[in-house]
Amino acid sequence: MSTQHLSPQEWQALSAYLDGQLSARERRQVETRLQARAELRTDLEELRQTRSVLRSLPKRRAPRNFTLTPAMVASLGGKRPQPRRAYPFFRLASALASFLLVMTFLGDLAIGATIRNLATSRQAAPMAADSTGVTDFGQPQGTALAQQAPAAPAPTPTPEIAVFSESYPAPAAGPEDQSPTETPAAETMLAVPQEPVLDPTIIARMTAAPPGMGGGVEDIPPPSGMGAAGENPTEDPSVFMKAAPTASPEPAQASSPASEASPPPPDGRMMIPSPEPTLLPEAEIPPTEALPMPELQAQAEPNLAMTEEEARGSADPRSVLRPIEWILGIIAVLTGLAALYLRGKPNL
Amino acid sequence: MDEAALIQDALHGDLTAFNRLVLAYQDMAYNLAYRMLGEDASAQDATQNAFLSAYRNLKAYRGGSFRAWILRMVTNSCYDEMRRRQRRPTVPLEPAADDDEEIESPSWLADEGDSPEKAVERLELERAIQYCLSNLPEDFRTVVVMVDVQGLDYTEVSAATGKPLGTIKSRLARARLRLRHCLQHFGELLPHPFRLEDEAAT
Repeated sequence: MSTQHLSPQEWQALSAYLDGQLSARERRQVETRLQARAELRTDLEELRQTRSVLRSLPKRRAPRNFTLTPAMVASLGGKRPQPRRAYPFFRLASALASFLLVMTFLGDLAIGATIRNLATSRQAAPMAADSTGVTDFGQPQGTALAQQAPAAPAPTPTPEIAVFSESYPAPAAGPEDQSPTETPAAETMLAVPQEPVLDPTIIARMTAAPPGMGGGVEDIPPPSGMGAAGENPTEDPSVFMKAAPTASPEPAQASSPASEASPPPPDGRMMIPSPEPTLLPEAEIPPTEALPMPELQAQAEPNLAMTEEEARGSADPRSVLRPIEWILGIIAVLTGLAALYLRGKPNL
Repeated sequence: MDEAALIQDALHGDLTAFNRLVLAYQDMAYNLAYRMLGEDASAQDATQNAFLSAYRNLKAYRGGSFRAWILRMVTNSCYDEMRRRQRRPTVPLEPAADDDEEIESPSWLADEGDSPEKAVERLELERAIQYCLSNLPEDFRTVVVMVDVQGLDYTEVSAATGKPLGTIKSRLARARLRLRHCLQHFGELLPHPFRLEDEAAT
């Protein structure tokens, strides 16, 4: 192991010197070093031995002839190069088409989500104004309701559901109105920041809309337990539209049913299992009920018209995207199949 | 043999002309493949594939050493074979006797002129060298086999591998260094008279 004192360059020079592959100047340099250093001479000798051992390997003769037959040439002639060039092309094309398909699909989804967000934000805007106006009524109500929720006799597993069940079924809960100072219905909605916040506005529009607009909503069948709601429909619109300036006298009345919801056990129990407790009571309300409030109707209608226009306008890019998605999908599948077919061909 | 004329004829689809070139180079091609792969069956496959590839890509030959060009085909074919082996590793087969007992030192591989002792010794040495070659990285093995086993000069090896001369020198030196370390484990197989005779010849 005497080579450890040699740098790779020195070892390389020594190897090339052995083969006579150095220039005259390099050779002289190596010879000078060889004379000066005995271990270098030993290295050179070992290198020479290694080379001679390798050279001693017998030359293997071909065990058979490797001449080509016409059949062998025919098997590779003409056919091979084409698939080899075509396969990467189809593979790339398939990958590209798949990528574009995914991107288009995601774009489609994103546009859909944007349209929905726009629509909901437009609907939520008046609601936000309403709720802020209403919060001035009393701030502790939210917490008061949260405390009431567990105390409610209804079999609600979570406080959130309890709040729903208490706030919306309230009109159905009972016409007996006791405490006007208690939480208004709108407050309960604020306490729950989830979807139910949107529902009252939708409901408000439904109720405020002319009979023709509300036709679709009326088709929703009321649950069996909601029969009581239909009995006193006159109070319902007021619950959800009390924030409107013209409906100012009604919140006092409307708030009471909401607060009443917790004490009466039978109605609360009926409401909890229903998956959409907010819409159903309102769906029963005939549109004509909203007619006594023409101002609200006037406010609601432009909003509705705008969202419909938006929906129609934004539907255009999606309708363009759909055929593109189909075309890309077909291209991806076809090119993928072609690539698979070409890949399956035997190699050489 | 007019090599240039045969190549021209082969380029025009004359298979007989190409086969004459095959016959001229097949020993060299097979020997390189065998030393690269260390096994007969794989070496035959690699050699056959190399000539098929050479015929198919004959138009890509741009003059120069046809031998180096053929060796390039063989080298590439050997690399393909090595990759195939890595994907599907197999146990190398030893020659078997009639009773299915593996023969430790198959006598049919030895040169007929040697005494039995010398034949075994030679065979063992060859095995040892082959073992050490097989433990080299592919690129090192290619260069050292071409230079030290096949006897090509650096320029031809550079043409056959497509690497510059400096790379060839460097790889050869490192391959020899590794081989020297490896062969020291088989010191008893490298008798002094053998070395001295060889060195005297060079």
